[in-house]
Amino acid sequence: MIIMASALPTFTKIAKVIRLNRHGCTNRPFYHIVVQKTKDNQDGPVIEQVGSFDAMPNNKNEKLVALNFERIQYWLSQGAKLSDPVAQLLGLSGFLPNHPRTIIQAWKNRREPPRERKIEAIKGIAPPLDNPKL
Amino acid sequence: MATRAVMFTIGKFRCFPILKNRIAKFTSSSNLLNTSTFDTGYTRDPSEVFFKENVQALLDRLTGRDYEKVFQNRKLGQRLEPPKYELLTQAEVDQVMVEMEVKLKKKLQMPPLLKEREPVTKILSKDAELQGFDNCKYVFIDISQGINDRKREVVVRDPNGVLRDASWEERQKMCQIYFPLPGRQISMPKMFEETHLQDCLDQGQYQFVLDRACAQFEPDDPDYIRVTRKTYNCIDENNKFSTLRSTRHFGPMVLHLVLCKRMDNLLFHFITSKEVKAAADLVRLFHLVWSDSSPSELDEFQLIENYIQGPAVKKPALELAWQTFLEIEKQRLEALSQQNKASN
Repeated sequence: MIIMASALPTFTKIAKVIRLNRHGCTNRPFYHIVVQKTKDNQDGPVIEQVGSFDAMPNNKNEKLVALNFERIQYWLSQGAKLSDPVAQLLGLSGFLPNHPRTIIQAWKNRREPPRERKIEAIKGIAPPLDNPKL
Repeated sequence: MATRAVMFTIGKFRCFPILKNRIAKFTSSSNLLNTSTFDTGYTRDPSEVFFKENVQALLDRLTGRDYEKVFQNRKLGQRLEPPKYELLTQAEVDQVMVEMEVKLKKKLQMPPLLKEREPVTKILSKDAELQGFDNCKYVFIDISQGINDRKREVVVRDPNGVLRDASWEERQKMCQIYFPLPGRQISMPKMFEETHLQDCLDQGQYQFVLDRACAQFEPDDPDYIRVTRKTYNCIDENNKFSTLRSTRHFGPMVLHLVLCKRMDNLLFHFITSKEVKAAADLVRLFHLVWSDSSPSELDEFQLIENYIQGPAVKKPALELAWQTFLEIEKQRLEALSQQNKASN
């Protein structure tokens, strides 16, 4: 019989964390924002899902983020920690102050735009793929 | 031109297939009445008038109560069930009729006439230090339970660091993605674009267009107002008022025509179909909307006469129709009185 982690009481001493769980398919990430025990694996039992984050921009060049602020507030009040990416998302949404990592990343991007990776073609061998995975 | 309607199977809204031989005709039914001397729009805020109790009562009376039409089995992609027959006492029948009244009121609930909504301009924060953190915008929606969709927080962080409230289009799209309503698509269906909309109206699919617009848009959406006004004007030009009678759209259509001052076609329709009460109600509504007072005449015939002599725009046609009606009435009353004499 499978028991959902959210059905079990959570009064253990293991810390809880709100972090991104990668779902989706190969080369197409989609993250669930979940509350989990730190010890559990990324694909292991989840206490509650409090949102989602679509990392691929849609045809309007938007990245969609759903956040259940009411439940996030509750879990923060119960002592849950935030992972860095989730803290960055909450900063971007205005729920928390801007995360220093976002500011540093923005500064780096402005100083030097992110490099595009390219392979040089080798004579006599098949030409490189359009989007090589290095 | 003969056209084939598009078949699609979303939720409730399934189009009827049009047979090849049926050609949509753009007829001008009554030559006396088709002059385009009307203004098509109005700058007045219709919600001031729409929500008044006396206006609502009049619109309700004008809509009519054809139970057969309201409760008919519409082919909307849902499973149809055969009718159930039950043996009931008079008291039980009365009880069922009371329940049916409640259901009827719900089906005939009129979608409101509102003015176009103002675009959203609220900026929550300007963070110049975040410029360049990503080259696409982030759209955040609050998925807490129990919040009305119109009050739900939807914010956008632009690549230039500005955090703002989402525009109405972004907001509706996000709410539909995470809290979908049946019959509504995420982006506007192609049917509501000008050319396709004109095709639908040429085929006479007025109720379908209005029902789908009701499901797809909010009542203060500029697209909803455009589609509904176009449909109402089309019905008015082609004198197809009976298609919307006893539906939820008749009331808003009548109020729209009164506000545009082009209710004369409708009055003509009522007079020629001998619905004196409806014609009188229409004239009362006109006075309520334009002078905010009920007229003093209690006699319905006098009321209509005064309107035709006074504020009517299409006087010749209306006078002709009214005189014809009065003569027919007189003959009918004479025949009745003769019948009474004969029986006595």
